[in-house]
Amino acid sequence: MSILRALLVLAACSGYAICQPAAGFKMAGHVVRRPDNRPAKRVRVSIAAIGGADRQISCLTGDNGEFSFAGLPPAKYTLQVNEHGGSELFLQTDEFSTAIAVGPDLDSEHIVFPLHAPARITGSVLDQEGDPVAGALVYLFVRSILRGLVQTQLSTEATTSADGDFHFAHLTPGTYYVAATGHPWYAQNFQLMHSLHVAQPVSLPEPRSELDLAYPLVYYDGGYTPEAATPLKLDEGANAEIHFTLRAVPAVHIAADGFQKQEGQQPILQLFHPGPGGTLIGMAWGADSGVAPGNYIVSSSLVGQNQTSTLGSQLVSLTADATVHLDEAVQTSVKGKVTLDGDMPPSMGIWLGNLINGSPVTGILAPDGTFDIPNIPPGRYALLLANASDLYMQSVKVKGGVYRNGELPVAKGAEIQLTINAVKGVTQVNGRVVNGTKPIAGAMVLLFPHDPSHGNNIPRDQSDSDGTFTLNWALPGRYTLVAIDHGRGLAYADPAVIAPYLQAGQVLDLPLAKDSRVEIEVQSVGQVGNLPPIANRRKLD
Amino acid sequence: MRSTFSRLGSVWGSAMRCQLSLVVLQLVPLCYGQPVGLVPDAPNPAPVRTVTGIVTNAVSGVPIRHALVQASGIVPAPVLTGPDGRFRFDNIPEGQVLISVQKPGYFDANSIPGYSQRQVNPFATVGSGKNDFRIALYPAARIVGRVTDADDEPAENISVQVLSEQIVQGRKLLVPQNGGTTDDDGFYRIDGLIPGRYKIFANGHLLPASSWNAPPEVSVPAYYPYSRDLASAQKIELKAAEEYRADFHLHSEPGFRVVAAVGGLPNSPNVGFSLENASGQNVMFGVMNFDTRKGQFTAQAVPSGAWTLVFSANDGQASSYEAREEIMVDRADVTDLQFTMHPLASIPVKVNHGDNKGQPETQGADTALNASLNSVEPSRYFTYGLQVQGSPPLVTFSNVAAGKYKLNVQSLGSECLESAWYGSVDLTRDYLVVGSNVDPQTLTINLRGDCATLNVKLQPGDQPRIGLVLIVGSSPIAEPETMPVQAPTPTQRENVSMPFTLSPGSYQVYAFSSVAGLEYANPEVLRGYASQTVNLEPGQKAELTLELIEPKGN
Repeated sequence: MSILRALLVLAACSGYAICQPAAGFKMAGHVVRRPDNRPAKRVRVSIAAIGGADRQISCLTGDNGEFSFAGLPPAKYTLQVNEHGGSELFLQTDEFSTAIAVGPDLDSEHIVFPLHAPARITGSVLDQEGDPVAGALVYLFVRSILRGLVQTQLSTEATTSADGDFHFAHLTPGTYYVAATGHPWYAQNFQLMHSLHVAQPVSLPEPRSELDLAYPLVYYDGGYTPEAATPLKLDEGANAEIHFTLRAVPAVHIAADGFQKQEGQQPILQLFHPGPGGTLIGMAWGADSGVAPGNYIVSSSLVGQNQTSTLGSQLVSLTADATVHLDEAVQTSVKGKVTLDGDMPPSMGIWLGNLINGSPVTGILAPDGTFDIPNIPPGRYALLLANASDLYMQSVKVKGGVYRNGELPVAKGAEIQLTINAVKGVTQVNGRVVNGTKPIAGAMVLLFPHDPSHGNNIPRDQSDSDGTFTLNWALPGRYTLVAIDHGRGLAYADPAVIAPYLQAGQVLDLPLAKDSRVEIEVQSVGQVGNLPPIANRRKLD
Repeated sequence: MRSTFSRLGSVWGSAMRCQLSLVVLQLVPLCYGQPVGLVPDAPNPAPVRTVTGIVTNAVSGVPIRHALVQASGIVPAPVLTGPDGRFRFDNIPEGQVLISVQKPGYFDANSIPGYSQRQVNPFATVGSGKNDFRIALYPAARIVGRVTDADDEPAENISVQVLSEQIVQGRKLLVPQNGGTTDDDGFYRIDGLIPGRYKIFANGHLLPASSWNAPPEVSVPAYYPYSRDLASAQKIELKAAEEYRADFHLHSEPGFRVVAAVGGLPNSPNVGFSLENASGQNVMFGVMNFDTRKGQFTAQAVPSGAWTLVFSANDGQASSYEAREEIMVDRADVTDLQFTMHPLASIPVKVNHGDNKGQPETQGADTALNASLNSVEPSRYFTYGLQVQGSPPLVTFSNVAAGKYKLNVQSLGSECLESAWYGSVDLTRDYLVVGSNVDPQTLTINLRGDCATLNVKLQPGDQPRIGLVLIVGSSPIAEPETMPVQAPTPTQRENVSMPFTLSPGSYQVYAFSSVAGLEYANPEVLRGYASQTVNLEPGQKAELTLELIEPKGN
């Protein structure tokens, strides 16, 4: 079951369903702590019905980790444990989990909920004097398998306390990178803050104050570039403690020229650090026009009350005060038009997902179906329709680029023109994962298109306690359906990784006949990932 | 020259706010520049000297390294203290210079309300002798604690806020100040607190129901240690460098759905909403949302009790709208509420000048006027201000919320207030009451030209000191007028203070060494202090010399 679907249901919960307790069903089981299956006592277990019922109820586990809910109407329920401010859904993997089916002839009373121990990173940021740096920004990047691809993403960021402390909680096992930066509180360059709006080259005060200083971005464990970052490998329940020292260096300042602005417009510069895995780290530059020497991506635009135009981006290497020539900025854009039969769904747009770092770029369609997405960071992108109801891209024509295997490479300076024909017909696949005749809960269910133009659009779900699943957003065409037990952490979007599973998969031609249901035999990857022993889950059989 | 008076008043009034946020030390200068009228003009090129000093921790006496020291208005750039806490400036002209110090986590004595005995002169006198100064900073206090829920589990992402007891325009108010959010272990920490008095508030959050037929549970917002209302919350007195531990244990109770239909929305509204407790403070329990399309507000779970539901919107132009009503939740859903938004009042103001009432266009064109409406409800204190330059036919107090207000008028020219009327209400003696959805009347301010002037001087003291003169009119709702005045030493040239321009009448005049922490707008508080009474006749020029009063501990 997709968590997105569950959240939508939860968000809609507002009334109080009146049910008949005496005629209801029961859900019961135990919560155990990984990895040794100790009972998890006094943790809050919550359930919420999917579909008809519309509310959440909860209880605390007993001394043996036991819980039960009685008087339940027949339905599927999300099952969630909350502890220490964190929450985990039953057999949660990425944005998927396993719902519990409750009703006649369904065993919903022998659940074993393996509770993962979250990892955390704590630390501090000090300056070269050993004083805490309050208000420093600490960035956390995670390298993990998302949607079957190995990706590095900016996960979250934190601000240090007055003591320079920070912490990141509820982390899943994986590889992390951490970076920190800030602004020396005593720096004497705040008088230049107006230069965010760089109308003319900035006139710098002379002589320069000895306290015109800035902190460079520094990675754990002391490197100044993404390549020099030391990865932090966190196991389940790990508690890593790391420390940063920010050393103030003489600041450099940026002015800009080479632009023609209309009346009322001001040039706006945004500075980004190139981060790990091609991510971009936006800098809070407005309050601090002095920056540390280094490499930056400068994104510029002309902003007015009624008109904003993007000038483009450029990589600058700053070793001293510099004037950025905005006429050298490179404009990279994707624009075009979507044609479709019938009315356009509200807020329909184009979604470009970076295949390396997962960063999305979106553009909303104008009423005539046109779109214009300026200043796209160069990279490889998946292309999808957003908020498109049951529409899908039947054809994509490209000028100024190539769209192949569902991938749109966007080169620096590219001006790509797309013509997309959208048609109705997105379908879904309902079915059940089995091992022989027994339903299998928690299996990763994947639908691989034979048409390479679908690219990385691989419909996915996770089987519920009765083995059932629903794959949404499947386009018409031929597919291979696979169900993989212990599929957590599988880079399934890698053709070499998935090839052995496809051989034992089931070929489907979509759309299927109305109300048809598919049965798929489960495959196993053994102990890949960190799922509990399968015996715990087979109790649902 | 009341303009100088006014500017100084605002400097003093807002100095603490700046210091709270920026950790600026040594009174005013870093935030507001050099105070007008307090530093004598520098004579022709004075000899220059080397100024040295040390910055220390006022509590431990330990030197503070890496503090930023600035000599205000002087060319030398700011410097950082060395490992021994010492600093040095060369080429400082002889005379008085403001030395300011910053260090995160520290405050100076002048920032601390109620610590009047520690008020220090922010000026250093640079002369031919040894120019070595000692500057003491006070370490900030902090509040730490842990929030647990009804299950004794740590409650994460709970917003905890401190309310600081502050004197705002002479009124004692509890002002929301710093806040924090609990982490995954339920811990929070609120740093950078000036020594003073505080109350602490933890907001609520939503819990699931405990059984299928029960309503959802909410943890109820609480004031420390376990009070539901602000008045009975514990007042915490924080000292410098103190770390106060304040744990919360939030209890839970059933929450009920509240649905309100909101009408009267302006076009293209951007609707804000809030739920306030009986103390006028915003509270949160769980999901609350507003469906602009339907004009419907929904709160998922609100515990039983009396709450005030507030909606605000603007029309994208200049007009604001509001609807505010108390609701009662009594162990059941409340789904039939109806609210209607009304535009906030715009009160036209007509100013009649001097001897030519009714002919504002031709008279008093050089007169400037500051007028403000100050709400008198402590839980919802705010002011509306306007400035009149010259003689516009009509000006307006815009978007005034329903409530009760005092009118305060400061004429910045040679005129003074004769009377002020809102319909038949004499605003020099009574409050202005603004109703909801009621057409406002014109507020008429009548000025007169035969004002009296009062010059207040302070008795010389051993050290140069700054006092604050308070002048209180005889009206029961009179707002005290304030102005800082320097008390010279016997050997110093006497400082001439700026005279007050006042309407003829009777006044009580006080001179305090500091009004930090002094609730001087409260007549009961002032009653305990010595004052001089002065009766001013039209056109009279009077002079008073006062002793500085040390405010009592409060």
